[in-house]
Order: sequence, then structure tokens, then C-alpha cells
Amino acid sequence: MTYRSTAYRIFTYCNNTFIVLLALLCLLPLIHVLAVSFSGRAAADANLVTFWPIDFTLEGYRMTLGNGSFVGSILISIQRVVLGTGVSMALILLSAYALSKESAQFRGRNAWAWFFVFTMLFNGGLVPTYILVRNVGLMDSIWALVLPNAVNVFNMILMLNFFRTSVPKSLEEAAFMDGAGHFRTLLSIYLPISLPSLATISLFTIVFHWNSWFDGLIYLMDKERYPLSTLLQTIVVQLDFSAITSAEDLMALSNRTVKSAQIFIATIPIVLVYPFLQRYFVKGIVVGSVKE
Amino acid sequence: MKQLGKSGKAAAQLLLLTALTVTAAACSGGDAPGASKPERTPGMTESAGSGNSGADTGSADAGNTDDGEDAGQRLLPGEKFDPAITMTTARWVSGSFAFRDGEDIANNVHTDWMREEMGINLDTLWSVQEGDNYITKLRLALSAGEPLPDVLVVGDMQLASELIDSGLVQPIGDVFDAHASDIVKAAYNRDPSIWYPVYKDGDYYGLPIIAAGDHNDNVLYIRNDWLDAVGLDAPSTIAEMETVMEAFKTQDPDGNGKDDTYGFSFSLGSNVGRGDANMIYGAFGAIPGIWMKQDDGSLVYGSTLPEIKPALAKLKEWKEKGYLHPESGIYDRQKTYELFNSGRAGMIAGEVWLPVYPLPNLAQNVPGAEYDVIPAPTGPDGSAARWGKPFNAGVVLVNKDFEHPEALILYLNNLFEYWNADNPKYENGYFQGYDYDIIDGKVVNGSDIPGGQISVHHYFLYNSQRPIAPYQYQDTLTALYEGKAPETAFERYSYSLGEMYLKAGAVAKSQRDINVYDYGIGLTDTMKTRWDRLQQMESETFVKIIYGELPLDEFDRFVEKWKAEGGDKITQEMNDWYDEVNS
Repeated sequence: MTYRSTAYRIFTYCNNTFIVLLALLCLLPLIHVLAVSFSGRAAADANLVTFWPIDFTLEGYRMTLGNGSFVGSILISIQRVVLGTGVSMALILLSAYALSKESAQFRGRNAWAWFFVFTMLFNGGLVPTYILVRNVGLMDSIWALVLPNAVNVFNMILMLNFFRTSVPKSLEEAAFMDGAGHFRTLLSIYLPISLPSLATISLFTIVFHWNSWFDGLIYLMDKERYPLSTLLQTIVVQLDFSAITSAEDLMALSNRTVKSAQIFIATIPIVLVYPFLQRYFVKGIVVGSVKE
Repeated sequence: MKQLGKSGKAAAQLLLLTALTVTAAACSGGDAPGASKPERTPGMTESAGSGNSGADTGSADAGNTDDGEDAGQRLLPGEKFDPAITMTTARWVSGSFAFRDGEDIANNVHTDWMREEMGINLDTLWSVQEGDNYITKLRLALSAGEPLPDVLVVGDMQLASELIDSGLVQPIGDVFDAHASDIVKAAYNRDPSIWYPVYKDGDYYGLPIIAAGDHNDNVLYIRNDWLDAVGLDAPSTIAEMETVMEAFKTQDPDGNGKDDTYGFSFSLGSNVGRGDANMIYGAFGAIPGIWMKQDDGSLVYGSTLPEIKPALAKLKEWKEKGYLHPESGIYDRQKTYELFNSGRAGMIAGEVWLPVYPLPNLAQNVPGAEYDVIPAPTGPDGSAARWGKPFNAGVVLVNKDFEHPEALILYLNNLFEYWNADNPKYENGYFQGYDYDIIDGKVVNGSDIPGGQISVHHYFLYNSQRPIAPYQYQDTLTALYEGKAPETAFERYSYSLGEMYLKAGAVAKSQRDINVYDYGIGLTDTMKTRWDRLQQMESETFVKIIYGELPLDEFDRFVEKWKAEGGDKITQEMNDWYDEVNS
């Protein structure tokens, strides 16, 4: 048996070692942050903590969760992710479905396709985009974070290609024969078949919305309404020491315990989303629907 | 006192020459009689220095101003706008700043105070977190053609000078003269150079924000217990420092049997010399990274002076002998604190306030660790020097369309009323329940305040700086260290921060005459295009020389290259600018 051979065993051994090391590489920084977030101030600021807390304390979490604007910003981030992912996925599905048709079925398809691709290649730039958002009246509302990024053309093309390659033509034709319209076909045929790619693209979109911070900074007028990543951005950038001119400020700014607690809390939702989406990645796709 | 003498002379010249220009302008302009204003230059009025700003009598400016509205009435604390006026602004808040429950930057005890005390409704149009983001957002708003708020705190001097050049802001020199209280004038009079950045074409286009430069002057902190362990005295010269560092490096001062100690914790990183190493360079006679004033009155860029070369040679030697951490080249300040606070380095140079934070962490991490504060060391010729930290922390700009620029001065007067010993209103601090509280009839500070102390200066339209006159920190700390009983709110607060802090202030003050100030506060045209590159070349060359990757003589080539690639032109522009603001 080949898998009992020495070469096979050596390969498996090396492979496993490599994967374990890779996993550790991803995991250890997170464990370090976790350890720091539970450590006392003095040890944390002197960088004495590695993977186990020193002077165990819950101070970091107490201060973070006691901070009203931090908790508020988590809610805003969740709102943004839900709205943003919903709107994005709806638009992406609809446009990808239409564009996946042949030119014969959808006249002007190529022109429309280029219309989308054009926005991938060129954009207005920061200032015109800002002026646009302002003049449309989106300033200072959650929609300024959702609508400008609603159609991610790259994701749309991914979806489109999935529709073209993975949805059997015969299934669609069968649906039409049974009297389904386009919406029915999209919802009852395309969607269930496309769950893996839907999961992938949703994950992209969720992570994008969870992580983007710059639009929050420029479109929102009040820091009390920042999403979490905009609030956190100032925590993870390097301190500008020339701006610090008193011990009180340095004391407040360099609090690694609190910073680590905040960073850790911010990663939890994304870490939680993965397992729920993961099952779609491994599940078989068009099993048994068509016999060729 | 050399430095003080110089600036004093400069002040006199400034006063004289501005008075002349103004008289000339008044003549040619054909102003109405009585329009001559001897106090044209802000802050240059007779420094009464008294805290008695409550009295209107004897004020030279009262009734002597002619700028139309509100003439003749100085807006001293106690005055208020009736009906109340609205003043719009935009704010940034430090990410670490925690408000009292229910408050935010737009509505808090400070905005209430402005409304009730001065009749000013402060309307915050937008707010962001951190100063860098503020600059980004402000630039974007300006690019998109949005109007400026009525008043605007700008910490970034480049943006401030662009705004001043754009013509969107109004001069406030006259308004300042007409309304500033004696305390404010005395504070703004201590160091005339704080007005330089806002000077343009004979007027002052903004209110400079005074930074507590003297609070940031560097002193040397050294591990006392290590000195005892190796049997040496605290060093006072560079040579003695070497002996001490050699012992710290080789004699295992922490007694753990490992060769894991360093002589000195400092960063050689991006801003070579401007950080913690400035007193080492200074011992050899030049401070890199700043525009030093030479004996003939001209400005020269410190990094290009020949005195830098022996300093680089010395740092290279220290690096080779292992007195400095091998990663000093990429250290930032946080890293230097880490090295010192984890008990692996014997010395650290830094601000007067380090004993308040982060140095208390040392004793927590290393039981029994003690440190002391000592003056900057002297060099081979017996003299010492350090970078005198700037007294500028940005400006408050006033929109040219704002009808009540005097409201800003009234606000400033109220801020500085804290220092008025005759006004009981602020005898304990600014806001009860924030920076002080009274519990059972006793005044308490710090963590004794329910909910913890709030650093109220983050509320102020003053770039998060404490409104304080130049040198006030060192003077107060020294007096307290020498045994003065704390009386005022500021003294009581300072006193509560511990004796080592007071001592650091006293040590810093004892060396005030070695301060070398940066006179190149402006940003010249050539600098806008070339400066980043020159700075990069400088820090690369310096670090490589110290690390031994380049020979020491590379410094001479650096100076030639620096001059050829725009340095000479920038020096010329800088001197022209300095002559202009100084005349």
C-alpha cells in the first residue's frame, strides 16, 4: 500500500509539521495580545509579557466595556456589517445573474459589463467622491458607509463566473420549462447551488465592512458615532511621541492592557463568523442534480 | 542666562521695529487721529505681570483701540456676551480620553462654562479622534470647498501656514491687544518667538498656543542602586558617563549573573538627536535637527555643524562597546521606556515628567530598583547643551468672516484666569468634579475624585495643552522642591505627583541656560519640496555612521551633499524669514 511507504510517512510528517507551524504563526500573536490584555499595567508596558499574563487583571476589559463609546461603536459596526452585506449581496446577485446571460439573451450585455469593469479601473478619487457623497446628502449617516461600496465589481465578477461555470444550463432550462421566471430561477435554482461562493463573497464583504475605517472618519461628523474600526485605528497606529507633552497623556495613551483588550474584543466577531460559514466551503455542490 | 538675554534683546527689537512700521503704515493710510497704537504687536505690551487683571484701572489699552465694535471695553473675565453669540468650531479628541458619563466633546462641562461664564455657545460642527485624522478631514473639507468654522485649532504648522496664506483667516493682533488680560499678556510676552509662526505681512493671523516647552526639557535619569552596586558616583561629564556605562555593561549591576544589561536606553531612530540623544550631541556643542542661532544672529542647521562629527564618533564607540542596545537604531520612545522599565538599562534621558509616568513602572517590575535624576553631562570642553523644547503647540485661527474675534480673546482670558491668585473662582482648579473635588470640606485631586480625575485641558480650544506661561512649570516645581508650601491649585496638584518629579523640574531649571532653541519654526518654499529627502538622508547617514556601516568621514560628504541639494537655499530662506519676523 502506497500510504504505508516510508516516503509517504516522511511526507505526511513534514506536511503536518509545516501546517502546525503555520497555524502557530497565526495563533501566537493572538495569544500574545490575549495575554497582554489580562496583564498588569507595569509589566505590559515594559513588554515583559509573552504568552502568559503577568499580574493577572481584568482591568483592561472592565475599562473597555465600561467605555460607552466603545460599546456603542460595536453596535454601529454590526449595523454597518448587516446593512452593508445585505445590500451588497442583493446587488451583486442581481447584476451577476443578468450579466451571466449570453448576449443573445440579454442585449447590450457587453456594454453593461464594461460599464461595471470601468469602475474597477477608474474612480473619481478622494475629493470628488467626498463631494459626491456630501451633495447626495449621505453625510453623517450610516448609508455613507454602505452605499458607496455597495457593488464590489471584483466580487460581482467572481459570482458571475461561478454562475457561468457551475450552474448547469440544463437546470436553468428545466426551470424555464416548468414556468419559472427569472426571479424564481435565481432564487430557487441559482441561489441554492451557489452557497459556497455566496459564503465566500459574504465573508469578503463582512470582513471589508468590519475593517474599513477611513470612510467612517471622513463621512461621519461625530466621533461618538464611529464604527469600531475607525475608533480602533487610532489605537493600533504608532504613537506620535512628539505630540505627547505630559505624563497624564502618555499614561492614557500607552496603556497596552486596555489596547490589547480592545483589539481582542474587536477580533471576536470575525473569528465567530468563520465556523458558521466554513461548512459551506467544504460541502459538495451540484451533487446529483444532473446526469450527463 | 545667555539664551534669555538673547531673546530679551530680540523682544526689544521686535517691539521697536514693529512700532515703527505701524506708525509708518498709520501715516500713509491716513487713519483718523488717535489711531496710533503703540501696542500693535500682540503680547508686546508692558508686561504688568501682576495677577490683578480684575481691575480695569491702569490698563494702557482701555479706550485706546479703534477697531470699531466693542472699542474701549476690554473683555476681561466676568464680561459676557449678551445676547449670547454662537462660535462654530471643529474638534479632535485623544483616543484615550474618557469623558464623564453622558458628556461628549460637543456638550460637556466646558461648553456649559463657556455659555454661562462668557455668553458663547460653542457649536462643534464635527469631531474626530486624534490630531492626524483631524488634519486629514480638515484638508478634505477645504479641498471640497467647505467653509471654515469660526475658530479652528490647528496643530500642524504646515497646514496653519497654508491657511494663513490662503486668506481665509483674519488677523487678530489688534483684537488681542485690545482685550487680552494682563495675565494673558504676561504669558504671551515671556517668549516673543511664539508669535513668529502666525506673522505675515505685518500682522498676526492667529493666536499661538503656548506649549509647556520647559516641561519637556530633558534631564538624565540613572539607576541609583546600580551605581551603588558598581561603586561609582553619578556622572557629570561624558567621560564619567563612559566609566559608568562600562561598569553597567560589564559588572552585572542587577546581579542576575547574566550579561544582559546596557548602559543607556535610547533611540537612534528616525529623528536622530531631536529625541533623547540631544544632550549627548549637545555636550559636543551642536544639536542636530534644529535651526540654531549663531553668535552673529544668523540661523544654521545644527546637523551640518562640525561639532556633530565628534559626537557621532562617540556614539559609534558606545554602540560598538555595547553600551547601547543593538536595536537602538529602530527603537522608538516606547521601546526605550521598555528597556529601562524592565530593568535592563542604567540610564535614560527624557522629559521632566517621566517620574510621573512611565518610570514608576520600574519599581513594580524590578523590586528594589531606584533611580535618581541628574543634569545633562558636560563635554570635552566643559560645556553642556540640550535642545530647549519649543513653546509652540499650534495656533487658533479665526475665520475671516467671523464677526466676534474678541470672543476668542475673552475665552483666552477666562482660561488664564486660573493663574489669577486674586480670583477665588479657580483657586482649586477649573471644574469641580473634574480636575478637583471637595469632599467633606476638603479639596481632593487625582484618584480621590469620584470617577477619577479628568484632564480638563483636553476640553479646551487649546490643542490639549494646559494654558500656562512659558517656564512656569520649571519655576513652580523648583520652588516646591526647595520647600515652598503648595498653595495654588497648580502647586497642590504638582506637589501630589511626588518628589522625584519636583526634583526633575529643579534639575531641569538649574540647566536652563544650556537650552538651545529651534528658531526655524516656519516652513520655507524649498523646504516644502526638498525637506523630507534631506531629513531622510540625514537620519540614514547618521545611523549608518553610528552602526559602522559608513566611515566617520562620510559626515563631511553628507554636509556637502546636504548643502548642494537644497540645504543652502533653505538656509538662506530660513534666515530671510527670520529677519522678517524679527524686524
